[in-house]
Amino acid sequence: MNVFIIGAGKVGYYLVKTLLPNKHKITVIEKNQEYCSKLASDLEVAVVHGDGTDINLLSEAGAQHADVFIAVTGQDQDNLIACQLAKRNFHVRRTIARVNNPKNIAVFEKLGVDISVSSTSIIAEMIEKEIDFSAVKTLAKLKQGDLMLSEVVVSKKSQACDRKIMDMKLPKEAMIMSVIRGNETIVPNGQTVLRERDTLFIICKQSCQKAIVDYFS
Amino acid sequence: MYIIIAGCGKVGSGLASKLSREGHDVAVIDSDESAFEKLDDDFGGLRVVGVPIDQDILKKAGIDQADALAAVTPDDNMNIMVSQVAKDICGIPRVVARIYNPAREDIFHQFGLETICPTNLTVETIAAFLTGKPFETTCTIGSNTISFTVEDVDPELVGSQIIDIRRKDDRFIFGIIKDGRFTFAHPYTVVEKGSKLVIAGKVD
Repeated sequence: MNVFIIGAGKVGYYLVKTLLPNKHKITVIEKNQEYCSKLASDLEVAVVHGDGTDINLLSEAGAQHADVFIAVTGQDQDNLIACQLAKRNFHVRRTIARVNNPKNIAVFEKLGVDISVSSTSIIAEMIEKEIDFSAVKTLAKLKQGDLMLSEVVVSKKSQACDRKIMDMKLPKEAMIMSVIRGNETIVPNGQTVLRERDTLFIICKQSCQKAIVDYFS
Repeated sequence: MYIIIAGCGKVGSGLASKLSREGHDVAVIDSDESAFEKLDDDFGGLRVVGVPIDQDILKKAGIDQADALAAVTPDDNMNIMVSQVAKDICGIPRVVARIYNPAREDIFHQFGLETICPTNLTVETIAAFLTGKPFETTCTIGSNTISFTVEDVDPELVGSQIIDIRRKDDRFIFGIIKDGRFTFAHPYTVVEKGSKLVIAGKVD
């Protein structure tokens, strides 16, 4: 694949390093001359010195042939404009932007960036998961956090223990996807009875996660 | 009107001071607090310290009640992003972005953003002055663009009435400048020596 990367700071550098073994054709554009030299001397990659939001430069570098366009500079406005130019002017199919301020994730997607990634919120979520002592652990947030995948361990004291799923009063917008009992994986139905130490994977709307937490603790 | 100005440099501070003097409610945003020193001493508007692409900062500046926004920070991309957030996400009806880079201005203008490119304006004005060619300014109303140029009166036309002047192109005489003062070109106005004609025409 033909991959364009804007920004060769820490994120850009390690991104190139990660993508290189996959035999992609990578072009990197970076404003800072020093970063350019370091990247060019360390890794086998085409490096262009200049502004990744400059239309003439993008066109000379061949952005119109890119399959994927990734903007990972430290400036949100530059990442947004670079991706918009790639999409609208060079008709690149897939654009990905790094978001430095997590509040901009929704903004980016509304303004036409295909995927926006915020390292700040990813790190915060991972830490949040680690310090969550309750019976319910959040494994993933989907659809911009609207949908949650949670892991629950059934305790003896929980009202769910030794009860059929169909008799449980779970919120309508929650569903038990699978039950892990010892080494066995069970795809549950209404007749499945939950036992102590069962691990459940539950998918639910974010709005009813609190009800799930209350139910299982 | 409630107007937000993003960027308090020479243009931003001038714009904010002028609009505030005219009686509008104005909020100015700049990431550098000392930039507000450039505002009029009696500037009565809101000063907000912060990055204008931060939604919380825009809310602080009153984006929910704003009628118009001008993005005039020194960073083209910042101005483009602020304008898009204001227009497409917050639904502000009147938004304009200053973009120095002509190529970028051209693209984002095509994408539906109202833009001002000082580089192009300066180049046009200076080139017109240096070459003596008539200065042309354009005005866009909806999807129509009207161009105005100024030319010296042809000596043969001195003494004629506007209604009797037949032009070879499909432009028409819009006004007359005599001794630096503009008057509309009424049909029976007589063209005097030393006047300049303001010519209007539609650009396709």
